[in-house]
Amino acid sequence: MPHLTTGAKRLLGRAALLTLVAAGSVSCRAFSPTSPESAQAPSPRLSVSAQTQAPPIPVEQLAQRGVVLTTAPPGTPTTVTQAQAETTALSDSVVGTVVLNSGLMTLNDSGSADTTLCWIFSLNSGNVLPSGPYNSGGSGPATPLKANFEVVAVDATKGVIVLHVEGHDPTLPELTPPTSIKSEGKTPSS
Amino acid sequence: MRRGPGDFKWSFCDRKGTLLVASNLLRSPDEGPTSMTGRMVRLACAGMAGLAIISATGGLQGRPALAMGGGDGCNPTRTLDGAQYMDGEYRPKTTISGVTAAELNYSPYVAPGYVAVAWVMLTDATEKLYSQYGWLEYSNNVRHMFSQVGNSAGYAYTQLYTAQPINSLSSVEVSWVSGASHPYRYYLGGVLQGQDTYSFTPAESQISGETYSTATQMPGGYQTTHYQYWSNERIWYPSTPGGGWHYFNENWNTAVAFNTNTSLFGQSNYPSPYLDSQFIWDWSCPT
Repeated sequence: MPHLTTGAKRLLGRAALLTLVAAGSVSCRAFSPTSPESAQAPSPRLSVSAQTQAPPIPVEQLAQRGVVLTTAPPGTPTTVTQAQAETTALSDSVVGTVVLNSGLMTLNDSGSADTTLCWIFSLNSGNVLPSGPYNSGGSGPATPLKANFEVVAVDATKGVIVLHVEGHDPTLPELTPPTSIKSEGKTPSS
Repeated sequence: MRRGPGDFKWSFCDRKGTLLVASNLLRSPDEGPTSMTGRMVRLACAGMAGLAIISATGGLQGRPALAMGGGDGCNPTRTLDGAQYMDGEYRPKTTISGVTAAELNYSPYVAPGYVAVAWVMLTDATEKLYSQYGWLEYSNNVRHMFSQVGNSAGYAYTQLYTAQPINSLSSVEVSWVSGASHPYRYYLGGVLQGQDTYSFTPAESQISGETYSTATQMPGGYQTTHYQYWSNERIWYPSTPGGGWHYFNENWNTAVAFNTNTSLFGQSNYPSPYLDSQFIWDWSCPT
């Protein structure tokens, strides 16, 4: 893949989202142009948990950081089976013991010229995350965050992990503890 | 916590007798009062072969200098409170574009469900946008190197990488390349590990340990040779001519130590001509 500008990658990310929705392999949220740097607290709403509707692979969250995922064409051959890749993905996770969603995708990370065919797994994270700098300005400590997305990408040819990310996005629902219906848009859990 | 040049009483020396790091001990129960001056320590280093420790009470000791926390660390047996604690130092600098240090891969005890980290960071210092890189340990010895960008509004994006061996030293670096599509870049031993698209101009660097819940050990033990430490702390900023790596704490007065609970955690620096090494520890843990 030729070198792309950030804007082009974001467009690709949007295209990936549309592709995913169209393919039906993963259910994706509508793209929101809101960047994390300027993210505001989402308005409260209700959603159904993983028990009844699988949360989408957080393609948008990765695209915002320069990782572009695109759904692989149907029938794309792989050396590593999805089950094998899933075992690898779960073994590298701390508390992610349940696969919320998965798919075969091509991954382009951080502007690399190459793409990698990967099995992508979205896990039920919930790890406590480092939460930012010391507040040298004098305000109090940061509020501890718990991850509400975790993604592991396993090379579908080599079987090795090529990307493992987790994080907290206020625009996403909290993942733990799983309940049938929960209210969102509250302060991130601590 | 900063001390004058004559206050430290132990040091690490390499095979050539070069003083690598040193520190003062204030409350270590296995040590007597400070009695060696910095000059005496340097003289002792000059005559040493191999890594050794100079003690004010016992002279040379045979303990390996890098025998730090390992396994599952030291359980401080404190109450689980879920709060954030930080122990380190920061350096305001408006033109900064990189921070690096040789970071010890200490392995502390981590309370179930929590995390301990040690890192170098660039931050804008006002909106609390940040980019950091270092080691991370979850409970049950689950270790990774990690990078993270985030802000104070509850956003965090973490990349996890292969852990480095416990008690090894890793050169960790966060660099900012203005105008690049992926301006924040993370290096381990000079090798690029990851990048992030994230938009802020750094104006401060920080180097710190961080824990969640008092039940988790702050990296480092209070006994000699068991600290979590960073050596060769440097920041990159333009100088004349060109840019270059500069001491994190130039002229003794450009960096500021922070410790969110001094009764639980300790912090000190090595007072060489420039304060370029930092030590932190947990007062409940000797190792």
